[in-house]
Amino acid sequence: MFDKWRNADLEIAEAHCDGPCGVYDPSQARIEAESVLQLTKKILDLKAPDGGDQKASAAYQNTLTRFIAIKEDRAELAKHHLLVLWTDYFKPQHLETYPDLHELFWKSAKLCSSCKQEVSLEHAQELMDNIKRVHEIFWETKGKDVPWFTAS
Amino acid sequence: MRMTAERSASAFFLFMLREANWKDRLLYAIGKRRAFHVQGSSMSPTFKDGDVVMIVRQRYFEPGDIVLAQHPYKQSVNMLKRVTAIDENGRYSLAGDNPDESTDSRTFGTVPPDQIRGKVICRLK
Repeated sequence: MFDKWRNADLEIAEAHCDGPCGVYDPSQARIEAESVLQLTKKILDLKAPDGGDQKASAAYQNTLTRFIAIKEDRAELAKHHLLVLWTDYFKPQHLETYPDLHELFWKSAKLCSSCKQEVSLEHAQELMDNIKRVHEIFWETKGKDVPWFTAS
Repeated sequence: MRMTAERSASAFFLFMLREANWKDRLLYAIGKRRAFHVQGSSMSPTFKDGDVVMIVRQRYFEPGDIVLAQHPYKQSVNMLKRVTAIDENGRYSLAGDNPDESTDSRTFGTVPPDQIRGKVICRLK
């Protein structure tokens, strides 16, 4: 009788965060922002075909459209990963140490939008620079020395 | 008794939860207590994932109490948190003992008393 609870189908008391794994990493945003930077370079380097070669024109349009579509998607993903870090990982006590944190994330999210609207190497690089700063702050809050690196 | 207080999370670790005794088990067996399985590590080191705790219904809670509360945005979710403060309107601030892995009043604000379902009084496992 005193051990009745052992055979009971117990209810669950949740003791975790909304992302129950508790795993966050600015690398997700960095990878997407790197794609945006590389695609911006590719769009700017892409040469339009001369004359009335319809086949070459179609290939050019296809490639350009793909570059634009992927840049759009990756910029949106970069924004998503930044917003998850901003709203879920960072807490009010982090603002005491890093008072520019809100400004950093707000400007970074806006840069993601700029990278979709424009073909701007300057803004794509600025987004990478901001994510590098997010990386530095994030790992400082974790007490870990994780060097910044890029895949490209 | 209602009171307003702010305490640091580390101070709460001094509060040790007792093990269930025969009286607790008897009260559970006759339906006067409820038992819950802990999932997650936001209450670490006080509770580990997989622990079983016993809950008693009561009306008022004090800072330091570990309570079972209904999640403000997910009504089917019961969460285990510690009361850190009570404001002048009787609303409770809740926090996990492991702040790095807890979503709590820092995110969803204070919780009204009717969303707190009971207090953890002992550990079964």
